[in-house]
Amino acid sequence: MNENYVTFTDVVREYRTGSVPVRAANGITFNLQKGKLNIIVGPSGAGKTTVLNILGGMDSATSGKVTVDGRDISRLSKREICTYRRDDVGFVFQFYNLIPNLTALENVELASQIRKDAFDPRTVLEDVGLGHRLGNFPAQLSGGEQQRVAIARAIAKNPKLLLCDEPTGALDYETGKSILQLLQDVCRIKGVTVVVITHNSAVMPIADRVIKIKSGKVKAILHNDNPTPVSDIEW
Amino acid sequence: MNAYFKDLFREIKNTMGRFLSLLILASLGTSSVVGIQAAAIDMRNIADKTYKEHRLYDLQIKSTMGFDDDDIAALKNNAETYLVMPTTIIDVYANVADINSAVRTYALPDGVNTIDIIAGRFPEKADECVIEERHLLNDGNIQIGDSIQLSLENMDDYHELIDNETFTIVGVATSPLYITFQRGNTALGDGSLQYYMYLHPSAYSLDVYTDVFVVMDGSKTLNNLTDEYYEFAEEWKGTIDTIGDLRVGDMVRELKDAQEEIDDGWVEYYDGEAELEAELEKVRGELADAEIELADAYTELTDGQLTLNREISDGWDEIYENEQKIKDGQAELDEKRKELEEGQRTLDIALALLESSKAELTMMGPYGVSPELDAIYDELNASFREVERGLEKLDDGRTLIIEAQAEIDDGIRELNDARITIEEERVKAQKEIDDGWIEYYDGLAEYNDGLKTLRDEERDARIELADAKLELEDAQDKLDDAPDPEWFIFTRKDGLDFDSYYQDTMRLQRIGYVFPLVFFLVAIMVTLTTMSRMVEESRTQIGIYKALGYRPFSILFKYLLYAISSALIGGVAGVIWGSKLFPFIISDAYGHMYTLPPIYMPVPFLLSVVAVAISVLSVIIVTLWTYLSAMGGTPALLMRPKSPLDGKRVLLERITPVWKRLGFFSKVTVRNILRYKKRFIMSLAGVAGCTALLVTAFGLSDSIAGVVELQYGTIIKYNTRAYLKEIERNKQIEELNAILPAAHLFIREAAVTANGKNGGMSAAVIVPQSLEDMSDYISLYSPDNNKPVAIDNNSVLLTEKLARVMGVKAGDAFEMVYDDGRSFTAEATDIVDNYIQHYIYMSPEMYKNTFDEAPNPNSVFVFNENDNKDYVTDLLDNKSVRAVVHNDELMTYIGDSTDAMKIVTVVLIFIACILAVVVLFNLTNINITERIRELATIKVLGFYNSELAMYIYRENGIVTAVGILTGIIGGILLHGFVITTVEIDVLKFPVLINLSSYIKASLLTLLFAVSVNLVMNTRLSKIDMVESLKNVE
Repeated sequence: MNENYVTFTDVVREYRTGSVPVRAANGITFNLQKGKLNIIVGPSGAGKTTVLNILGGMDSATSGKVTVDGRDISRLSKREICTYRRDDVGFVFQFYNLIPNLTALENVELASQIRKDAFDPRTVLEDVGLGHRLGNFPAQLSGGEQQRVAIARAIAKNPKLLLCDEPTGALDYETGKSILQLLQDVCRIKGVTVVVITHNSAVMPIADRVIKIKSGKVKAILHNDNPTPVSDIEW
Repeated sequence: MNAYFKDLFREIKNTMGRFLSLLILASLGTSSVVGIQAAAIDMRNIADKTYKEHRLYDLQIKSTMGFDDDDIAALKNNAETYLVMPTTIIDVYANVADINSAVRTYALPDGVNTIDIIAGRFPEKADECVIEERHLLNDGNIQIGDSIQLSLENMDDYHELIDNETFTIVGVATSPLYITFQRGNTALGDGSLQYYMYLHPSAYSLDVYTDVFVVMDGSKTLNNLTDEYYEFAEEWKGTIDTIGDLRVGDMVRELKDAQEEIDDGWVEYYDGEAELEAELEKVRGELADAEIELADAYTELTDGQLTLNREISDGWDEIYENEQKIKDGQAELDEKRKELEEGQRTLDIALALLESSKAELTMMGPYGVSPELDAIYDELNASFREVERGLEKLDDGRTLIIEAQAEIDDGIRELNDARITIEEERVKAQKEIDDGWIEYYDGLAEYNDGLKTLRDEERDARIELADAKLELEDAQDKLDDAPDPEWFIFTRKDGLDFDSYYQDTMRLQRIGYVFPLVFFLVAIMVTLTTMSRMVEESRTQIGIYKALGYRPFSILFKYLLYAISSALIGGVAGVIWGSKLFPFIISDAYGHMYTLPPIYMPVPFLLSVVAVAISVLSVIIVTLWTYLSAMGGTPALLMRPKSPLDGKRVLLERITPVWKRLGFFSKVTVRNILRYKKRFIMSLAGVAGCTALLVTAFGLSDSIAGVVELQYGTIIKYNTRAYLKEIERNKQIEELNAILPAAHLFIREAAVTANGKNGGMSAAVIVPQSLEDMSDYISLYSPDNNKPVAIDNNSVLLTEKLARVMGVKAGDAFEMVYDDGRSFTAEATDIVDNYIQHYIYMSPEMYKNTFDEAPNPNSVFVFNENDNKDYVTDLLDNKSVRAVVHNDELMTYIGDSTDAMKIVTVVLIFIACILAVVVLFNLTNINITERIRELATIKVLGFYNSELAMYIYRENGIVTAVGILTGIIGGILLHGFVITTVEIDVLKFPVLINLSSYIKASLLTLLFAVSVNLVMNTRLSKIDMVESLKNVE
């Protein structure tokens, strides 16, 4: 079960722009382990974001099957998929997507408000090292801090999956590393299944499992029994 | 270029909602400005056209004396007059199909105020007429060919004016003099005219004209419905006034001549009278002498007769006396004779005895024989001697008797002579007297003749004089009665309907400035928001261009074209539908009030161009401004995504107790609202504008309805009013008291023009007979604080609008002018509230002091709890009563006449609704577009659509709520402004908005807000969460 916590089976996603259908995902199949840090890596336009969108309930597969914790999420109604997003998914965006008008704490609360089994936002923020910036607005925070708030917002919901879309993409090297560290910590300490999308293959060693995607297909799935600590990697 | 437009079209296509919003706003702005203006202008133009077509008078002249040919010539000779038409206008009663009405008859026009015959033909003979269409149509039972009876209460008066009494209706006419359904007032009947009719000029028997209509040269080329025209009209009035003064001067001279003639007549008259008196005196003297003479003669004759009679009678008495004497003498004589005869016989016997005795003695012896014998002898001889002596005595007696007899016979003779004489004398004297009588009677006859002649002559002379006097007096009376010669000159402004039509169009035009202004402002605001957004979207692009050293005009042009095309298309569309729809609705509404032809609704070109230009210019300016202010940053700044507006702590957060109590989402809402202040204000303005317009529109209805409600619900308490003939005797009042319900109040009413320092208006002076009862019939209260205003002996109360127009406050003096020009001054003591007509309330004492006339009642207010009208028939039968008016009928009438204004409210509501929808749609749309990333993020966070919607709607809800509240305040202000703008002279619109109107306006706004949000709901649910992943532009 742990092995097949998340499964993608022949997932196809077709976009129709104009008369020619474009397949962003063309029969992707993989599975992810529970409580592990997974990285989906691939060049731009490979279809990794499509995978993430489908996994995050933001998009649905044209065909194929997606299960999360044994539940087929590819056949859910709009409402069910929304509930799925709400309860099971935490999402971390490349550009943090904090609500500018809310303080760090409030941004976390925004997520925890709608989830019954949510963690205490304050604690979560303290956990991500922002116990001292609770009342600050995003504009008053650095990029790294904003991303921490975003992570806090994502994990405060106590999600099954923490999906991160290029979480370091907008950050400098050091900050990026610290964010990756935080993700790794969240995975290890809280046991959340983390999925990180990145085009940066240098970060692959920190993951328990790496899925390489190219041209809408899985090119390789790498298992890493001993992930490298974040501090040890460089790019 | 092709690609450029493709890009533009794509942009438009992609932002269709936004583009349409701009377009609709532009079209609302231009349509309302062009439409309302066009309606007003069209209404004026059609009136101008109609007036000119019918050569409507510029000036109407009336004269106290009528007009003669000299007057007309004087008018025609003036260079400024174009057409001068003398005519006759007379109000009479008309009876047709058993309907008796007061009507105004006009002589068929000759070139001025030409009428249209819409059926039948023109009158051609003195006994033909045409009557107005309305009457014919409304009553239906009157047909062409029917005869109509004209009359006046006094038919002699009537015939001085009009020859015929019966006229045949030969046609149906419409007169340009009447553009409303009002027919004006008359001195006849209940004072209101029912309809008008035209008679052939030969129908009138007056030798002067009653009226002159003048068309001035200047009005031919001037638009007749402009202030300029009215200014000219005043000048023309002055011109004609000058002519009038000259003519009046002539008339005054003529009158003076007439007076002189009369005075001369009097002199002659008195001379004649004196002459007559003198003559009479003389004749009377003569007659008196004759009378005395006659009387003397009479006396003389009578005396003569008496004397004669007496004398004759005396004569006869004497005669009879003498006769008696003679008779007595005769008798005595006869007695004596008898005695004598007796004596004779005795003597004879004695002698015989003696002779026998002697013879015996002789035988016895002779003498001497014996002594005895001798003694016997002696004794015998002695007896003999004695007898002889007796005989001798007898003889003497006989002689005496004979003598006496002779004497008596003489006497008898004498007497007989006397008898004859006396008779003769009597006859003679009598004749003399009789002759005297004859003479007397002749004299008397002569005298009587003389007297009769005198009397006849005197009578004739006196009659002649009296006639002369009467004639003179008549002439004097006529002269005295003849009002002072004066010309009254009326412009169309004085003809109420023409001016009210003009004022209505001006009022409409003012509305046409106010509302479009609101739309333009809203359009500009929305454009500003939209353009800001669009420029924002192309920020980076602009930045790149700028960094490359270009001035990115192409982007500017795109926005300009976008904005211009929306403004242009919307503006032009607005001009087209606005100039068709508004005039249609408006003229339809005014069509209920005015009989002018419907307007022809051309698109007013210049105005349209200006409106569209304003619309386009305003978006150009807004676009440029937005663009240039966005361009202000350095390229680097521009290229960097503009960070969303920073969150800020809001003031409310510092009020911890409140902030703590707010739910999480409420806090978010508060923050968001304050974060997007600009948009918040825009939305607020949109919602507020909508609510304000709705409040104004509903409030207008309330105010219009309120006029009647307040006037007849709050102020006027009596429910019936009877108009009376002037009452001078208490008996009339007693009669009326018996008929009228217990609660009634006699009043005197006088129509005046009240003038103050700022202006003047027609008003009615109302004088209650009893001041204490006044408040039971009319409640007098202050418009400022609604407190009752007392009326006492010194009170002069003005109604509020009258005071406002005149510019008179309590304590200020003002002037009241009667129709005949007499003017009086009074001082206002207080102001009272009133909505229909204008009144000046005065105590009887004050009235008497001010107008110097007794406040005899001429009207009566009746209050009747259940409005039972049973007494009305009796009341109408009473000869003191002219007319009875029930307030419930008046209310209906006034209600009808204000309907036209209600259409404006409907138009307003309609527009307010469109405006609300467009503004709310656009702003919500922008709100969503601008925050799409945020919303997408929230959606990713797992917010259900409803929760997402609430996230936005909470803000919208607050915007709407605050907007509605602001709008209500704005509406109150706008309503107040509009009310005073659209108010008509005779009414005061209460600045009144019912609670229900606020509720309706709020609910409608809410409804739009909710509908727009519901529409937006689909938009929200369609938000692509992938947006959240995108880079910030």
